[in-house]
Amino acid sequence: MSENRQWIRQLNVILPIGALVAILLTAVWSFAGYSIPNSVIVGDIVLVAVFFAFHAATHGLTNYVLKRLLQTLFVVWAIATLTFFLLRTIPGGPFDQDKALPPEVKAAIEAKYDLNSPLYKQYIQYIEGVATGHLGYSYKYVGREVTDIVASSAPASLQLGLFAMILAFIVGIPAGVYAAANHNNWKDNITMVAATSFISVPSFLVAPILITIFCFGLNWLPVAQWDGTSFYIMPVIVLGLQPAAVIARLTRSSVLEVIRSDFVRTAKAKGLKQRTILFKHVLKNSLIPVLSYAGPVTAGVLSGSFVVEDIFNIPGMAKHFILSVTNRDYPLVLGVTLIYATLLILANLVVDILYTYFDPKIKLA
Amino acid sequence: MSISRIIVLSCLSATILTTACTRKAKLDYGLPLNQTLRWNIITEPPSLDWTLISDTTSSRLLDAMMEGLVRYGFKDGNVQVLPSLASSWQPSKDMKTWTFTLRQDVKWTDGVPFTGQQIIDSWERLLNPKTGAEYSNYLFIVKNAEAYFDGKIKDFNQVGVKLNDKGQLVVTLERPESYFPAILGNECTFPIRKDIIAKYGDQWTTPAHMVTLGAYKLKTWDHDKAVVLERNDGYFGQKPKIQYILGLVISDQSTALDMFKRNELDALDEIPTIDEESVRTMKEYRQVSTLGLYYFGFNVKMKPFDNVKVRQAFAMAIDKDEINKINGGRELPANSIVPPGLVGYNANVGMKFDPEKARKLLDDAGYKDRSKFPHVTISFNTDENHQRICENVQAQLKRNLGIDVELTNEEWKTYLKSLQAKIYPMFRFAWIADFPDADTFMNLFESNNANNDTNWVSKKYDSLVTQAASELDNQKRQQLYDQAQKLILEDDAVIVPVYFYREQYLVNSRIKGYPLNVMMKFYPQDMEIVQ
Repeated sequence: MSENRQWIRQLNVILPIGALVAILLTAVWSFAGYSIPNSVIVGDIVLVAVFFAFHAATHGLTNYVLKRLLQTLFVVWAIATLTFFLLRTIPGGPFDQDKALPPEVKAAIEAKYDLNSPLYKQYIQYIEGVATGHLGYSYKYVGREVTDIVASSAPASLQLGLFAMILAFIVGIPAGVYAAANHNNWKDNITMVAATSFISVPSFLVAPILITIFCFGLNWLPVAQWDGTSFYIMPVIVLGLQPAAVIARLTRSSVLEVIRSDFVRTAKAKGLKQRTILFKHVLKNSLIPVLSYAGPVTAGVLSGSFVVEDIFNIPGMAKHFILSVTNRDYPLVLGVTLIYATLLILANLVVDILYTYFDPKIKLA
Repeated sequence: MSISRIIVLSCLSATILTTACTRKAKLDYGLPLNQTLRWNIITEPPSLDWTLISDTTSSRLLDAMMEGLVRYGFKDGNVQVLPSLASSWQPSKDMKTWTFTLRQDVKWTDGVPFTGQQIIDSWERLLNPKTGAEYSNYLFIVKNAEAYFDGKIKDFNQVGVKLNDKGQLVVTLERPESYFPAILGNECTFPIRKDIIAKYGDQWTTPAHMVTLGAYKLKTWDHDKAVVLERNDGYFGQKPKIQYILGLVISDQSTALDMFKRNELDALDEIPTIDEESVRTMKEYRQVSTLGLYYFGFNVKMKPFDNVKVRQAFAMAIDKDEINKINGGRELPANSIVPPGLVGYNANVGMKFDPEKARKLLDDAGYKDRSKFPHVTISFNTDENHQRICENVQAQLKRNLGIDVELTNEEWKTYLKSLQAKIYPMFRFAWIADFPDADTFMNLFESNNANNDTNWVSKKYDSLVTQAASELDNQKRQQLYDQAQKLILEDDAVIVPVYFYREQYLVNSRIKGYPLNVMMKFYPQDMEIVQ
């Protein structure tokens, strides 16, 4: 029994570290300009899934996770339904254009895309498609399936989002701990002023400033495109800066709260080093607010940023969130909405499970 | 977990990754710089199926890859209709039948010879309602074409396009049309390969399957990133000098400009408004007039524009030169509907700016007391350029007529819906020519035209425009168009032309002969790279 427990405890440490290391290495390789084969990405996902499944199974969360996954299905269906009908209420249709089409021509095009059949039929057909993984054909990009459009544009967005979030954590958490450790002195003040500035300055301002300095001034980096390490640096900084700043602020206030706890006082009394206390004992207990923030932000960042992708000409999927609506490309709007919704729901689920990992006192039911 | 385990795990993962990963392909696609034009195509082409396209990007790419019965020439500021797949053509006396003699030496990129039947196949596909082509009505001038589209005729043989015994293409029209060959430079009329489309379906425009017969062929289509064209060595016309065209999809104009300045791009077809002034001083700057008209329209059934004197007063109170100034002087102020370079252009037709006369007309219309002038709105689609222009018009109307107008704007598709519903009293709009003839502009305001958003109906105007369309004598055509333009612009003052478009480009000095023309056709044969 005790051997089993030890084994479980060890796996509970090995699995998350393994998954984290795998993701980080994949990110580093990808950042270095290597193209990552799908098998490696699937491997990463499997590792993460195994960790969560294992954690859920050994912490009595299986029923909770299954319940949440069922809820996810319901939420996705509700979003699909709402989006489907809301889209039809927007004035202007997919084939309205400056050169107005004669009614018979418009009718023929609408017939081709089944837009002339009753709305409930279109809806049933759409939901059936979603259930079987077929999101329909784009109205704008002739002959291209929405799944194909998303599949070709998602990798760049996911890559950019992953790099940006790694940057946000790598910079944000140490900066927050550093500020908290130097509470109320100039180091704290400078860190927090910088963090507040990065939160307030929009990316469409940071990007041109960086381009002016690093492309035209120093000639170190290319202006745009998504073609290797030197191309990744600026967009990742621009996208990662704001979450890094928020994470730094959250970490700081959380660390300051935990640092006053009894167990920290005990650790200090035992003579542990300040660094050990901060990074081994305080930090783990301070991550809950950061996690709450990071969940939805990660979903948002992974699905792309229109401004950053546009300025740096990154072939990601963020543009589809905007252009599909202006084009009234209903299938594409629905496709990207569902993807974002799924990412958001899963990110929140992941965060909820991670709560119990970092703070076993938290019980999910 | 011990540090050593983490290290072992990391090394293991790193080894797997190293063996699994390969270096990413570069976005220059390995093309030699001295043989490649690097060009910003702005958007991902929605399609390269020329029966289905209706956008500029796809159209410009296909200009390089395909040919139609005719192509356009642009000498001395005028547009000429030149032979291409048709070596010559002849109209019948009544202008209702056109006979095209076809070239016999043309081959597609897969070696299959070009035939007249491929033109008939293309027109059948365009007119087949199942195809769902946005340009289906483009060939409704052809006899029975509309009836075939509507399903009233099932047999395409009854449509007025046939091959005669000599292999010539004979086209019969519904009514006489003197400029008919000019419409055949549009991609939707180009020949197609039915066998290829039947074999590959929607996927026939992928690089592996697409066959064309123009100067270039499709080499790579990397969605959302780039399109690469390669010289077609079997092309029947003038051989292009540049081997590759790399069309990069860069939607942000400022980014494209930055890349151009860093010599990463050779040609830009659009320049961000904010940078226009600085760019004009660059030696790479080019400007060319195009066949496009920007105008304001009145809804003649809505108050106060149901009164012709109010419309005339508005038309005379708007100084187009002033609008052009606030626009940075980039456009060509317009009085007429037909742009320069086409038969029908007349600089003297239309309302001239005359604020004094405008005030008097408004007095005569019954609005001497300006406070009694009804609430009027000017509508435009949300866009900073349109906003700037409309704000200027608002200020001019206040200054010159002493009236207040309100501005309203809507998102593009919503705006189009409202325009078609004819709910705007005064609105801005623009028209870009589909083919180089005055009729593409003039028929816009015919009573039954789907794009006539003014509610204006004039049998006289319809008759003049129809007569002009069938007139072969240019002098007579000019007279007819003069009369029609006087009617719509002066007597009835239904629209106020504001300017003709001028397109602005940046072309790297290493590129010679970049195609700049009024039709924005991307004919690349004359281009060359000078190092």
